[in-house]
Amino acid sequence: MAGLTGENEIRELLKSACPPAAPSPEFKDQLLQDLTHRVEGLTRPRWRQPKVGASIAAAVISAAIGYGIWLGQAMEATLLP
Amino acid sequence: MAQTYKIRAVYNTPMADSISKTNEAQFIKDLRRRDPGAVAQLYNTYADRIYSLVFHQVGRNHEVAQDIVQETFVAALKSATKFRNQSKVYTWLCSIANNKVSDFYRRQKRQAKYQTMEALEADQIGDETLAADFAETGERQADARQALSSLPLHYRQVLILKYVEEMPVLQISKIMGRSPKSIEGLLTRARKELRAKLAIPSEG
Repeated sequence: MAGLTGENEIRELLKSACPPAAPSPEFKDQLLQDLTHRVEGLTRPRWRQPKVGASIAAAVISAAIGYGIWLGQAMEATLLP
Repeated sequence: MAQTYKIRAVYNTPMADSISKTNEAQFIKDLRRRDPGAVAQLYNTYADRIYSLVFHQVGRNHEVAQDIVQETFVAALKSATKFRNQSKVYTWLCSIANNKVSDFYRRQKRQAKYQTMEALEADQIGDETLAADFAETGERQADARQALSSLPLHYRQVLILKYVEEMPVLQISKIMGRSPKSIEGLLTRARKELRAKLAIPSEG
């Protein structure tokens, strides 16, 4: 290795020390699947995204319960003499 | 899976290892919209190259390389809408991968404070890998790999980008977020350090 002085020799040495490497096909398939799921999540309309959807559902349920309670009280007030 | 989408193969050049210049504009447009076909194309075109780049930067550790490649593509997907076509797609991905490798070593440095036995085990694994390398590729390559692994990360990164990836200084400067002049200096120091590790005479 005493002759390794020029840039070309460094290039040659590093290229032989670092040949192209590839991930396993299983890993590649799994990651592509993962990315596809993430894309689906990211491109879904905001209201259909899990967190947003759950918040909207919770708000609708709370409003329905509140309205039920209010309606019950209003009816009671109307029926009482 | 990718088959559920109409993956447009129009972006690729006949070599299929990069996106052709004429199709790149459309590809980037689709990628910004996070079009599933464009994302699958991005992955299929660059996953192997990014893996190879990361694999050599992390001392040929498959598990670590896989984790970093995953983090790289997830980050690319999240920031795809911000990609402004100021650099090539591969340069952009390399830049994300390089940052992820740096993050990995920063995390490792923090964790190292708490590691005792694990570090010892890792050293043993390193020795085994080195022995396997020696048997597999011979003294010259094994020496070069050992020397490269023992260099500081930014030296290792700049040497791999310059001599293994054969990138011009300007492209490396975009990836590493430094000026071209700073990259030239870094390369000089990295070459000097590599020569010292390999105990070979310096350039005149």
